[in-house]
Amino acid sequence: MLTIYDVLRSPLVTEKSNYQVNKLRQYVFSVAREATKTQIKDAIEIIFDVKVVRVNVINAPAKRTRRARSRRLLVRNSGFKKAIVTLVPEDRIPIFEGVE
Amino acid sequence: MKIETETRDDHQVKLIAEIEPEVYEKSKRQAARKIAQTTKIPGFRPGKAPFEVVRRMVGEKALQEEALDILVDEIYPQAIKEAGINPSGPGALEEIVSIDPVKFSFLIPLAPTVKLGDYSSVRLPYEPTPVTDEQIDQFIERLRTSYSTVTPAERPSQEGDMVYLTISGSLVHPEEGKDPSVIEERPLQVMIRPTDQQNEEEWPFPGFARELIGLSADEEKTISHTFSEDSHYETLTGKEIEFQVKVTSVKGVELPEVNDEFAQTLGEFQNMEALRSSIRTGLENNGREEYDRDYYAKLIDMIGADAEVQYPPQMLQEEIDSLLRSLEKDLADQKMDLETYLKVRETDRETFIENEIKPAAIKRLVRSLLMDEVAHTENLELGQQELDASFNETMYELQSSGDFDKLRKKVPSKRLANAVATEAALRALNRRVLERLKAIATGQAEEEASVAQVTPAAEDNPNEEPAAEDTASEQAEASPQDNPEPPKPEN
Repeated sequence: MLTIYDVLRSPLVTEKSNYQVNKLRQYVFSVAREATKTQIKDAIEIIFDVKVVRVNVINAPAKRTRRARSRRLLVRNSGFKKAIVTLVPEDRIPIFEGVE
Repeated sequence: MKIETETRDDHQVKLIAEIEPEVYEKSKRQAARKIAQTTKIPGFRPGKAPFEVVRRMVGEKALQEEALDILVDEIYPQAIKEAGINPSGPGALEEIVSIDPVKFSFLIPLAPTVKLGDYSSVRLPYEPTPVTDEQIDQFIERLRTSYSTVTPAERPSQEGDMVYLTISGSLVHPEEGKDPSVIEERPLQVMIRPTDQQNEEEWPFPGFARELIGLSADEEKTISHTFSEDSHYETLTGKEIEFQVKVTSVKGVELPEVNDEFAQTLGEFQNMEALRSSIRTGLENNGREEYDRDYYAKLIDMIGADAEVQYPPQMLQEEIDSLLRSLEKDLADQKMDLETYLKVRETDRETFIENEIKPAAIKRLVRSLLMDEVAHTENLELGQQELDASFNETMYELQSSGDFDKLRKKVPSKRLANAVATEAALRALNRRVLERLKAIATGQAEEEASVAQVTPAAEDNPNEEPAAEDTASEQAEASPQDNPEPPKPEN
């Protein structure tokens, strides 16, 4: 059973997400693989006390890389589910770094 | 920015600057940008990470340090300007007094101040000792000796002969347990000079050659001699020494006749007259160079006696370093390094610097400061012509010194040219200053000044900003009198 506290795994801070935060009011999180848009919306609204307009999710695929030392071995990075949450203009998520 | 200054005894200024928080904040942001350029922050291209992200990544402390660094660089020139300090070298950040508000204290070496005394009243007559005929005669005598022809003679030696011998010397009363030998057996050739031409520097002692009169080849003689108290050889003063002499051969010396023919064999001399005059100029030049050096040294010391010179310790340190470097170079020429040299002198680096280098460095520093100041107060400037001449001279010397090719390979030609030009300018200016001082000290300057008052267009008063024509005419006027001495031929 997935509670709302299990849904959000970590905020994603990258150059791109930074842009989205500042210009588009979109906050990017990595979320549990089995989370749905509704669950994500509930989780954000309850935890951060904000109003969510829209949630987009992407299943970021696992990527194959090689191990750096011995070039033979193939290693798989685990994939993850990414959620892009758009808030109403008035609201912000303050713990999101890069904002203040 | 709030600035407090405090002058210290050793000619440095302590400067405390307080920075406004806004300025600090700005420099922090700058620091973050700088850090972002070099640090790898995941999710961001280099230099693209925003301030907050950088701060989270590297931490407040690192950010602060970087910010203070930037701040110091930025405010230092500003602070100096605002405080009206004339620094002689790079100041050092003494400490960061506090962070909130940001407060720095700098230690800045001041430009040296030279308060000249009444140097225009310094008088020192310039009297190089003239070359006497006697000196010329002596010189010719030496020439004759070195051009003499030597023929083996089968007879006891007499005055004027060259005696080849082997010599060894030992102490008559050696100290217990010490090797009595003073001179290892070695060959020697001795010229027996007439009594009126005794050589004061004769080796091993004056009058040695005369002991050999009457000896012929394969004869042996023991000569004992007690070195007087004022002998050159300090270790031997008051000691009696026995010299074992064995003559290998006696040779008669035929000195060439002193006549025009002799003069011609020596080179491009028509007759004796020409030779004599050439010797005279050579000796005069040598003598004058020596005299000049002494004279100027004395003169500057006299000026320095009532001048007040202040300089920061950094300048002294620089001077010491440069002296040490040149010493090291000299030693390297003799295939020695400083450590070995110090060991030979039985001293260590600190005491050596303290006792030998430092006084010399102080003297040199003070001297050069004095000269600068004189140049400044006397308003001495160099014309292009003089600079060119000096440049050529310096270049020529460099080229003839032999290291030039090596140097040219190492140093790019432009830098080399610059260095030579600087050196040349310095030299020319130095010469100019010295001549001016000479003029003052011999009273010439006053005469000139009185002439100048009658005709205001007189030389030696270059304006601060001379017009183009002025400079030209000034040069034309200046150059003949600036070089009263003809270029000295190397002798």
